[in-house]
Amino acid sequence: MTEKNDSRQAEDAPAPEKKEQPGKKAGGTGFVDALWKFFSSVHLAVILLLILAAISIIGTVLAQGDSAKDNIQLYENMIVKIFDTLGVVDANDPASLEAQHERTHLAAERLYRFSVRAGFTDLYHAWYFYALLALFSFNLLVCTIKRWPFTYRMMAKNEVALPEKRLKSMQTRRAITPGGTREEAAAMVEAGMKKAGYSPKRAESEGAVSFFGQKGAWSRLGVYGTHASILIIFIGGIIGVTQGFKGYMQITEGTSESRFFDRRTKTTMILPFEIRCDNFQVDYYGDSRRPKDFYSDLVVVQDGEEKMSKRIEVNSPLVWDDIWFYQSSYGETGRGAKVTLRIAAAAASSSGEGVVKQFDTRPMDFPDLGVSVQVLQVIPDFALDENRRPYAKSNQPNNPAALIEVKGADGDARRAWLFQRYADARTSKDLPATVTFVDYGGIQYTGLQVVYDPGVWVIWVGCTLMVLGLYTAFFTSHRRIWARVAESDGKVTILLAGNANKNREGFAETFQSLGDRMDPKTGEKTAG
Amino acid sequence: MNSSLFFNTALVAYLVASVAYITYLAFRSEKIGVAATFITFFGFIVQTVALGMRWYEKAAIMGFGHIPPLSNMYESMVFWGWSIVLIYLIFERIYKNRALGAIVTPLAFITIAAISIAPNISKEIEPLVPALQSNWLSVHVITSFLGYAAFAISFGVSVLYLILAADKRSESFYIIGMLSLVFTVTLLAAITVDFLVWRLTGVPHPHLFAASFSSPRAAVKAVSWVTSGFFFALVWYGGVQAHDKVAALFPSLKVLDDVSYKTIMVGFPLLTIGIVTGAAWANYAWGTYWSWDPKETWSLITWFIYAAFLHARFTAGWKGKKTAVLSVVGFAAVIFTYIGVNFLLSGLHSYG
Repeated sequence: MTEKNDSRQAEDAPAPEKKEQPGKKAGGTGFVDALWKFFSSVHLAVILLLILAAISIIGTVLAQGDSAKDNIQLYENMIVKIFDTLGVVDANDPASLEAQHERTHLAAERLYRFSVRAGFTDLYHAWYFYALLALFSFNLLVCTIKRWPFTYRMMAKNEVALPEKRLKSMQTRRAITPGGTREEAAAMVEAGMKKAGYSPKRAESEGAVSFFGQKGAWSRLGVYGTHASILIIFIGGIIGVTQGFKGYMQITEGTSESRFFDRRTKTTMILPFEIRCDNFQVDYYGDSRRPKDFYSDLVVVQDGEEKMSKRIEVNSPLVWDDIWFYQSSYGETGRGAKVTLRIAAAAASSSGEGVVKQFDTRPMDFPDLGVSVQVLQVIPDFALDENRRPYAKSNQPNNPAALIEVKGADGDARRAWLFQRYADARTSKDLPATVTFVDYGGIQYTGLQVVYDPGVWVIWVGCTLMVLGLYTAFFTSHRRIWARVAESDGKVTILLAGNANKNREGFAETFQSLGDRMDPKTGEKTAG
Repeated sequence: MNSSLFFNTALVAYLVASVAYITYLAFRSEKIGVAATFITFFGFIVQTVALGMRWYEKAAIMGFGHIPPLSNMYESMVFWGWSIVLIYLIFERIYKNRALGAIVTPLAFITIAAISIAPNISKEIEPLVPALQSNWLSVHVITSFLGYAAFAISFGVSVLYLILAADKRSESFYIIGMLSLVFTVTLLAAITVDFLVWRLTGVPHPHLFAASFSSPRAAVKAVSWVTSGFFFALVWYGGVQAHDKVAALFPSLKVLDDVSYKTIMVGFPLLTIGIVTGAAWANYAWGTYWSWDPKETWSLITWFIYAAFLHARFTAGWKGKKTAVLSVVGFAAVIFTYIGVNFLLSGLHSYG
């Protein structure tokens, strides 16, 4: 982190914008000139960034996209707070609040109507917010285009044979008297630069041999990457908004669904396939009611065929046909009940486990365990009447019980009552498998977010480019080295000069050791 | 043994280091300076161990392979303090200058101490809601807070710059710098008093500043206000007069300006990665990479401000006071993104 980033150094920076180059647009009208000047200004960029920041703040204070009632309530609360501070009402005194209620409510309504008209309730989709973003993009584009010729010159149009005066004006320079002939010196310079990774170009003029080599020229592209990435992200966003959809679907456990509610058009849409939810489950932390995880077992059914199945949970969506299904919510349907049973082999010698989730009374086979299990009856609040017959004391799951029938391999069917709360209280201990009553609950629905966004990969390309661009722009540097080998009065001199647009300390060290290798005064020390 | 013992040790180390750095500044004794660095480094190591232990404790509850301890206000604030110290130690090594420690170690102390004594902030290890169980979250939080830490250092240096660079009191830059300084120092002092009273009496505070500005005792309250008023006056009148003497203690204005923008150069890409990974996480968890929720929007506002800073500095040629003000404004946005949004606005990030 020793970079020195100061592109303001005289010979190394684009002309400050006040000194506008008149060349290109000389033939244009004054208006076009002025417009170009306006949009190519970095000051405009800085101001636009700050305006964007300021406008975005409004949207974080006022609730976005909520119902009118909620927003009016929010405004009313704010007004009451202000009135309270001003002493017009006493927020702690209901009578005082009541007296001013009409006034505060009216003011809140007015304020709300104003914010709707001003677009504040959906600020980030308001025309002026888009306009600002468009202006910003345009400014970015023009600034970048304007800067490009300079960058291009810096990267690809470096003169090999710079006049001696120019070299002497550079901050990092060194004169070396190597002894020997001019050609020997030139060969040494070429080899030295090559070794340092500067692969030099050679030119001869005015009796002098000149070399130029550079490293990390691409580092100047970092800023272009970052700027391009912003436009790419905007494009990705536009693709998503215009080509994609975002909706919500609800599937009851054990059923299929292909319809979903599209949020943008506020209509019901139909997918070309069905999603079946075989099971939905919530796991909790210990005995608490804090959900640890919730998941749905989904199956994609297309043309009557099961195409794929996946257990989805938060942070692990299902993707089919470029449409993403996210676990987003769940709830009770209020219809029916389901029992979860865990089936394990009765004999300790054979192993295996299975789970029955029952919505109806079909028997389920477990070939591994050689049994089939059927739920015959479920009672949420088990009790026995005077005739010792089971009945439901209430609809509340106070003592869930299930009557099950387990058929062994021999075809022998045995029945037993199982209790969720009392695992040991089995009415029959000689079932051909160990069956545990794990969970009892109403049939639930799973809420899925349905998203089709063809622009999302464009967004990720943009984001990656942005991070790479920032890294390149801030932490890599373009280093250039010139050398001029000249002979005068029989004495050969090497003039070495160079510069870096960042990390000047680092460059100075490289430059020093490069010079040391050529200089006979220091050469011996560094040669070995 | 649990991690809190180590956290408290680190906290005390940062407090001692703050005092040592300030003493070093006043007496310019190389020995004290080395000691200050050593104590800070010691605190940093101890806190690193504490973070590791807390990670382990958390994993023991929620299963291994889980994310680092960064999922609530307390954990993130502690991590922020850690990041500030880390980035400062790196800069101290590069610049071979200890003077800024007198500004940075108190900042690190304030963040951890404030959250340790703040009421209604749970220090317990809490089970995570499903949405938070993501590896994107780890990267998101770590990069964001390293970025915030870099911005915090830039802020401290910029405030110093504004005060030292001013020639007269009426200068608006001086007023901004001075107000930021008085505000931060008063906050620091009040929290330190809270912290010390809490450690000495062992009685937890009902709320922040219970031992100073909002003490139930009128006398304590009065003394606090009078003291801070006195401090304000002292800085206001003495600031410009003592100017040269104070300036002599610190590195040159050029170095301050340098540190101020270099820390932002480090922080800005980190903030960018933080926002991007946050978007990736949201997309994976909810199917929306950007939903204009207040926290997201505020992080973008912060990004806009620092982007403006970088362009102002590199391309438009702003330097010194003007960029220092932008750095102060940017940090105010950071604080609001991190803390203000949670308390004042609602949204997805309301858990911390």
